[in-house]
Amino acid sequence: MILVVACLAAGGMAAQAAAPAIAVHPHQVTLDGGFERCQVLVRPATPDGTDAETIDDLTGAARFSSASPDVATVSVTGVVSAVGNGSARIEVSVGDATATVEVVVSGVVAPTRADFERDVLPVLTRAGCNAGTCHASQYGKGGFVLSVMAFDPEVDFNSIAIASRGRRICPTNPDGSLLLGKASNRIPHGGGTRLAKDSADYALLATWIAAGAPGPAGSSVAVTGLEVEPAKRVAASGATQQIRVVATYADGRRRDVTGWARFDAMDEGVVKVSPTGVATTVGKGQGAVMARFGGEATIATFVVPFAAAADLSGWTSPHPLDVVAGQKFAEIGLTPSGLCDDATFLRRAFLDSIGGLPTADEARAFHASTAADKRERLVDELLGLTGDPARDRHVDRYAAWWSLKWADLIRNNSAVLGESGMWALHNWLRESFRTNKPFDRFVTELITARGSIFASGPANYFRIANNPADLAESTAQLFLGTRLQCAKCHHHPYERISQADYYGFAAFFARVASKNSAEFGIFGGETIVVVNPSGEVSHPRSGAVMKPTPLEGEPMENAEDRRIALAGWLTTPENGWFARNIVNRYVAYLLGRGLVEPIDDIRSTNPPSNPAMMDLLVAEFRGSGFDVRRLMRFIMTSRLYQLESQPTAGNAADERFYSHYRVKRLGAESLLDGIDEATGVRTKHPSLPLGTRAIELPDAAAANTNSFLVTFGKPKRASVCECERTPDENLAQALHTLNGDIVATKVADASGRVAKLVAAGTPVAACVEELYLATLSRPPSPLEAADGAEIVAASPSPTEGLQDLLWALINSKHFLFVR
Amino acid sequence: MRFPRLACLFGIVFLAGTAGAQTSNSYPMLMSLRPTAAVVGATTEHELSARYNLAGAGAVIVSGGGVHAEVVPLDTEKPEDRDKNDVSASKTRLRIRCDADAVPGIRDFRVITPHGASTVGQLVVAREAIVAEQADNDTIEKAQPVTLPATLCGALEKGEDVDLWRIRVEAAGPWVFHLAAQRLQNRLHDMQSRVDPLLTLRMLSGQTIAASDNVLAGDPLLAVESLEAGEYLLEVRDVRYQGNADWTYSIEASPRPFVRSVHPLAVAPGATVPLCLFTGGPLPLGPTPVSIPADTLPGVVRVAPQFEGRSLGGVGVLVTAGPILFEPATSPSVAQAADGSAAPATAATMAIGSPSVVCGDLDSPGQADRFTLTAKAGEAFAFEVFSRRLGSNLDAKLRILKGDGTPLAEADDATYQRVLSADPFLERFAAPADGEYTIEIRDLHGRGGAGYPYALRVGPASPGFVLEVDTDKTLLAPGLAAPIYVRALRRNGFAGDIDLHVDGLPAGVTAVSGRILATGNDGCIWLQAAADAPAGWGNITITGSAKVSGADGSSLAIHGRADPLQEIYMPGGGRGHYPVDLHTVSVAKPMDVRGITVSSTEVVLKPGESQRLDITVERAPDYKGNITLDMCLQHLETPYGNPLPKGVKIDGARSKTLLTAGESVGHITLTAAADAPAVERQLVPVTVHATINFVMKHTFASAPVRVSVTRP
Repeated sequence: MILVVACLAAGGMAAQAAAPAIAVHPHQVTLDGGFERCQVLVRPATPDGTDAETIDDLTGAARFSSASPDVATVSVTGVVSAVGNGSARIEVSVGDATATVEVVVSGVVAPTRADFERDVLPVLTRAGCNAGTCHASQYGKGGFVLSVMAFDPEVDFNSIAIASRGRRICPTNPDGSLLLGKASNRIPHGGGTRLAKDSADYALLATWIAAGAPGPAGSSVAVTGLEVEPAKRVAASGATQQIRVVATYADGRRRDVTGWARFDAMDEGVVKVSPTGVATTVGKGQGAVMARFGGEATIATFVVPFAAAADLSGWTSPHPLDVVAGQKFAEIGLTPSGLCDDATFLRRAFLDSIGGLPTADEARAFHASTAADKRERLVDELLGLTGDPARDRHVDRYAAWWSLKWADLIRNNSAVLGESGMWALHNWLRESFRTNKPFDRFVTELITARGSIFASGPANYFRIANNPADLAESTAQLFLGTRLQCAKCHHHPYERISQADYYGFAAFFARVASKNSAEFGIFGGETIVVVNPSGEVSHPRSGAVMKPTPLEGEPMENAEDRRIALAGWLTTPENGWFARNIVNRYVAYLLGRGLVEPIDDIRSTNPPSNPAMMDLLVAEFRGSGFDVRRLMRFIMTSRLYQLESQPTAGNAADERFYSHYRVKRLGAESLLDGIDEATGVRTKHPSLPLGTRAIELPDAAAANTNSFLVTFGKPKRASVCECERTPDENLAQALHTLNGDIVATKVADASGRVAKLVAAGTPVAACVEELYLATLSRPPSPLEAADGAEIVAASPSPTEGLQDLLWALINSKHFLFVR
Repeated sequence: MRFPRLACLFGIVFLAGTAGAQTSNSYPMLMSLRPTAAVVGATTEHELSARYNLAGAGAVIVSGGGVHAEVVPLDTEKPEDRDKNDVSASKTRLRIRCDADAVPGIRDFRVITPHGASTVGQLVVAREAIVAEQADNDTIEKAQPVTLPATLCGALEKGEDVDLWRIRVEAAGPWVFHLAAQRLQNRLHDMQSRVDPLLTLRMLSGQTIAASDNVLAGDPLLAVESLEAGEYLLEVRDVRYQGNADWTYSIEASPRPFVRSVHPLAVAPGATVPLCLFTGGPLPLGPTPVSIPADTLPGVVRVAPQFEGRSLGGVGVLVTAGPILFEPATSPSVAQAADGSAAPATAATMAIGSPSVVCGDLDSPGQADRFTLTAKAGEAFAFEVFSRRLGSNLDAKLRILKGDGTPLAEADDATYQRVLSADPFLERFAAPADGEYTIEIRDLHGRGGAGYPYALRVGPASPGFVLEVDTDKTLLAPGLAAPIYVRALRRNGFAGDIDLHVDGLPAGVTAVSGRILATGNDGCIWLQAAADAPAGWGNITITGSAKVSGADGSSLAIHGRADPLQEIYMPGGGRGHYPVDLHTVSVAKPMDVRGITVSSTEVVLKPGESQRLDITVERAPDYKGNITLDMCLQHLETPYGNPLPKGVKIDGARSKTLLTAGESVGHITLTAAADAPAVERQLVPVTVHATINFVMKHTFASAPVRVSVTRP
């Protein structure tokens, strides 16, 4: 039986009669049960009574008093608590302004009863007792073990009331219970004081113990949603805001749970939050406060503008992406940097779309073009969207580059798949990107693959991860951007994903198996991925057979292959996760940072920096039929993508809103290919023909054997996480290019670019220009040209001088970074 | 430099010693043929490569009909040596003539040499003219020009080899590029790493137009719907960039479709049947009539459907004299519901009887074909699906269901001739009660569409056997004997003796045929070449016969023909097998073993008793290699042919079976276990193995030894 229920808001913020007006919310409160509470928020009243994100919070400055303390009391922070059945009025004042809150209390019975799941566990959670660092660690603390965030009430009840011969509670003397003695630190407690002896929560636990510590009734109504008020607040630094949290239960009831919610700041450089939910803005930018209760989590967003106003006078691009970016700039007070020059754009576009540098001739041709739309034309050519085979000449490189990206994520690796399996998967990736396979089809082919691991490249996906749990985790992270791993053992701490959700999702893969085949010869090693007619996944705690269920969805089945149902759900346009995940990845690949970071950790408590931009791109992606090249074109033709990387004084602090292009180091493979291109000396990769680019390497083996690629962070393909490719710079990398053999040898190679230029009798000025075009994709400035000529003239020979210049260009930040 | 030189010297001495331990007279082991394809209606010349010795090669045997080959003596052939044949030659030339009606496809062939019959090699019979790889064609600039149609033949002879062909297409239209390479290596017994070809069609600039990898097993089949007239690049490489001098390939580049399979898959002898063709090419073709000669024996044969008077390629069909039924176009195919579930078995299905062969195809994804069979309680049936091995895409799953849809039995992959197949075989299903049963066929992966035909053979589950011969060639010399081991796979509870028989022996060769005892699965045939037997060869047929009891208690004779298996040197040193078309017996010149004498040819044991056989081997004068003595065929302690009676074993502790350093005398002690059952005069010759390599042996036999176990 539910003992207490809701604290209801009877409407929006209501203006009160007195002036200067303040508004309270809720202005009518119903408390059903002896332990119920309700947080009251106080604001200046707005003329039309509506909420506004920019309105100050006056809760902390308000004074509260109850006209009927035998019915309801109110704390100095505005928390109304039930005392006895009846009606009460709460007086609220800020200066001369006053308002009232009408309170109705019911359901208070004597003795007061507390429900273990509904009342007791939230207290323990709020107090942090069942945090992973405390009693929910693997072995608990002091032998007292709780489940993480109370995801397993049976275990918790056993630990509290039954284990150790029940020594942790004493119903005849609740204050003498070890549980309360430790929590209040009256008995020395490693965790310090978690509950004050005079607190309401202490009283709640004592009441529960005194009632004989009744266990889980099994009739608890689940929390199905959580709301925070305000959901968004725009304020200057130093502002405070009391957050109110309301839970919705499966039976439709709503309840103020502010007093039992846990609050965490997601970006403490922007906003901090107290345990009671008082947020304080401390820096500029956008941050969030996460509130958690009952297995649900949500956030309140705080925006602290960088400046009072942004200068967007030059921001006139009608490109839809630029429109939503401009709106965000205006809100956050950021003035974007200027448009990058052609040389920067050329190099950036090449590296971002096909993973390599333009040749000197390609750079020369681009700079020579006077076409007004030459940037768009270049993007179309790079992405193979012109429809003219002669212009779509980069498609194979595009396919190689994006195959590399997705092979990293899917973890294509001969150490796991054998050479033939690895190549089969690689070739499927290459074909998929070469033919611009719609991404929903790409994913469907992958996750429903079956048959020969040699004839069907994607079937190897089921050998890389070969059990339902691993497949569920990989698939969710890759294509939903959701990390399920936590929920394997306990309820996800930051997400509404439970163990049941985890194993329900894993059940889609329960019937995947394999059989042997000799069609590739009796020692050919062919394996056939099959789907058995039976096979289930069980919940590890309850032992219940889990029905295949998508995240936050209803169970679904397909008699032929459950994965078909999964693929249908996954790629349906209505599935927000799928498109958001892919969009977010490509935003990160092109703009240097995802709208959500980490880019494969999309959840409600990790919102996009610009939700409108996310929505726009998702709509664009869906509308194109999940066409990745179109998505890339949409982004790359925007002004946003073409901004300078040089920040202004006003936007230098921005790392989230794309007010300037984010500088990034060339990836390991692109850098090695770039050095090869610049020097004219190709790297010979083992067992591959000379001329094979590093971005074309099919396998992860080079991540162990090629010292250059290792140093620059080529992933070993051990993880589906984007984070396995490390973008950071380090000393070893610098030493590699400055002092290492690779650059030095290639620069001085007798068949290299410099040698050929000299052998052809090329004038020094032309040589210098050629080296600039081959490295920085632009001709030298007059000063650079003069300096170059001077370096050559001062050298023992033109060859040495040009080699020195080439070496210097390769070691310049303009070469090593995408700007 | 001192240490490297010493190390080199050490290596030479070590290797020389190893070589000395092996036979000096091995039969040749064929490795590759260049060009690897011959052409229908044409005569072409080819270079044959082998391990060991091709010198003196004479006859060439090619499987199937319509292809004739002969050896073209090399100008470089050296004089004969001491044995008149021991000139080392790893290559020779063949002239191959294909009749105009030769069925295209892959054929087995062997060469007969003074050292005996070679192992099996394979060649492609193609439809378009041959163009052989001429020189370095590894870059776009060096791409070899050729005008299509043509059959392009080359080799990926080294690591990182990429062969580029600059192809000219005179007229726009569809093109099919059929590459054969990996499939040519299945039966090469000494090919321990195999090619995995990748075919890519590119523009002259190098841009990819289309690519194909593993379609026909490991071989590509690239069909381009429409190719404009002009020049292109056709690139072939090992997908892993590996290479091997013997990794030859042929690419048949043709505007004609390439037939992969047909429907129906079963035809009757003497019938002319319109076959629906499933092709690798884009051209839609109507039914094409194919005639099967009336004297065609039941089993799988290859036919060559024609289109506009020209062959579309070879394809396998099942020839059967029994009733052939055809699945109706609409029923009994049961398509899946939207949620993937199949309709219940109570849906209208076609009734079939036993024996019969039902031909059908799964023409849509998720389809399951169902048939009804009426049976009496206890009536037993065997079900065999022919699909994948006849070129169908189908990976069939067979289920037997009760009327209410409850599964009673199912079958997936089956092993035929020691090779796992995707075709199901349900050896026995006994009806639990009178009534109707549903036989269901579906694709294991839920696939369907064009190219998923099958033939389902239904018959009574009668006792019987399948025979396999290990190996596929018997090498004799005048005055010498050799064994042939035959293994029985017993079916449906057959538990009797099987008497063996051999036909087709070459002149001067006689045989003593043994039996497979009811207590075992292996038997032996002993062959001997007379002292004056002429050099020659013959393809033999081995059969077995037995008796079973009929339903009325009468005795019925059953027969079976043995399938020859070629031994394969597995990576790591194991011994595998591949079925081949022919078992060849050759009489060649004397080799390392010149004679064998055994102290007794009659061994009579009571349970618990032992008897010693003393064996003397006459070696070739300068042959000092290791010789092992045995009475069965085994490798790494795995028996591959053991005709010894149950309970009789070689007592290793009281035997000397390894003869080293020129030794010629050894002995074998046979011991009967205390519970050994009685048996009379089982044929078990003593065998003498001269080592060729770690796996392969050259095997000779003593005079027939008869082993009996008497009652205590």
